[in-house]
Amino acid sequence: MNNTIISAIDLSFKYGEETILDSLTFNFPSPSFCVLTGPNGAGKTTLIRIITGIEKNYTGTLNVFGVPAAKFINKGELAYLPQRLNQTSLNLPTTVDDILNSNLFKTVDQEWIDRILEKLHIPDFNNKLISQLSVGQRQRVWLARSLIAKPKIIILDEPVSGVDSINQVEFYEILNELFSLGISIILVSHELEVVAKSANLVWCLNRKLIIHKSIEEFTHSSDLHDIYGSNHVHLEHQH
Amino acid sequence: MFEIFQYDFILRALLAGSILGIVLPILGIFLVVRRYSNIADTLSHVSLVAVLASIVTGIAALPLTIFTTVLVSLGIEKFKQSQKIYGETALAIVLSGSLGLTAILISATKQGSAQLFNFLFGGLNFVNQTDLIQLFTVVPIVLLILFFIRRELLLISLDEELASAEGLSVNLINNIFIILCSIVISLGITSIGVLLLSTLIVIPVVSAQLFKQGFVSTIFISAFLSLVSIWSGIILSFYFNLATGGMIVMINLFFFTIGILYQQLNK
Repeated sequence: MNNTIISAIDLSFKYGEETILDSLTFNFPSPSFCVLTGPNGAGKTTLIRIITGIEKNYTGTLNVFGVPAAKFINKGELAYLPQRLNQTSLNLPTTVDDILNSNLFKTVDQEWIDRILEKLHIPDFNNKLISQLSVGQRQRVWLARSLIAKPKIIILDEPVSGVDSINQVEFYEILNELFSLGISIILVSHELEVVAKSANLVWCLNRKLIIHKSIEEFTHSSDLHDIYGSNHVHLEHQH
Repeated sequence: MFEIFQYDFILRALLAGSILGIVLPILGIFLVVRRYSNIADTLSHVSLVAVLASIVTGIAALPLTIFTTVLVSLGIEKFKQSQKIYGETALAIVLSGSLGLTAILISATKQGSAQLFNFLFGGLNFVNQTDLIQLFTVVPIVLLILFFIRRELLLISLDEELASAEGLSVNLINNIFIILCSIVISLGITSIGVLLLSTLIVIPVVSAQLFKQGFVSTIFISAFLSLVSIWSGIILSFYFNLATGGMIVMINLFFFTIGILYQQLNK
């Protein structure tokens, strides 16, 4: 049975006089692996910031876990990896342990934490400085941190930007595993070819939102051309 | 060698220097990692203006200094949060204004250059009982508050958006932190002066970072380096009859150089 994690009716956002999001209406059922895609400046990050409660100046209705977003108190059910997170921490004298312990929803379930670190191939990194890790390793540390509180949904904004292609594939495989464990995912990505293998829901955003219930539906529509201006990516979908 | 400790003014200097030497790097690490350490210098100059204004007007120095510094710091934060002006730009504007007002107030007071020298370069040798009581009453409270909000401060230092998404009131925590900085700077201006305030907030932290340790270890290392520089600076300046503030700064720079060499050797 599907439960709705996020729902919106006529969600709009303006920056000054410019409309960034125009009357979005959607339900995000659990469990889902959704790719949020669209050209640069389409409003993807803005939508994510509104869902995560960072941006509050929107109009329309938005509910998160059945509660109006303005009243939703995140107790760890919703995890978020902002864009370029793995670059912002480089100047800090922080170890992997410091990063993991910075999760304010930290659980005392050490067994769960050890399982996460094992699954993400970073089991012995606790005392390493975050600045000493590769880009891909740093991103996995941040992902591990986001999993500590056993979230029901993780929202990732272009998490593999700057990561080499092998690590990108590995990262998406990890996301797929998390999805198979029942954790819903919203992934902002342009990497349609790679994420097509994992996602079962596609949101195309360019001020307005077009929802596709499956990758097959998306690939057979004209939206790729309408949104990006060309059918420039050949998509394959495998389950 | 130990005759230095028979002088009350030296003991007061060591006490004042010690408590400031502990709290300033702890505040400093959160400023340095956010690349916002220039605010320490700016707020030091604002405090100097307030102290000079108290001399001209006769208003009690400490309340005026704390009030002015807190008000200005919150104003800078407001500019930063509104994103109408970059944080650095706001600092530069306030710093220029402070220096201008300092020049005007100096010309308006009958005080000589000696007192200005103390405000700029530190008057540790002139710390009195009242200064000590104020420091040892307020600074422990500041440290306690910092301890209670330490995880929130670290998370905000890592990424403000992430902190906001996890339910933190980022603006509130930032405002609390900058108020704490303002209070400590206001307390320190008459005893250690503008130069040492800026130095002790930044250089011990930067030196400690060179030892590539975790966050808590870096805090302890920076506080240790700060304390050693203060104690050795006071002692050496006593025996060589040199300016205490300048000596402490040079010892901090020496530690920074050692840190650089350590880093090079461990590459």
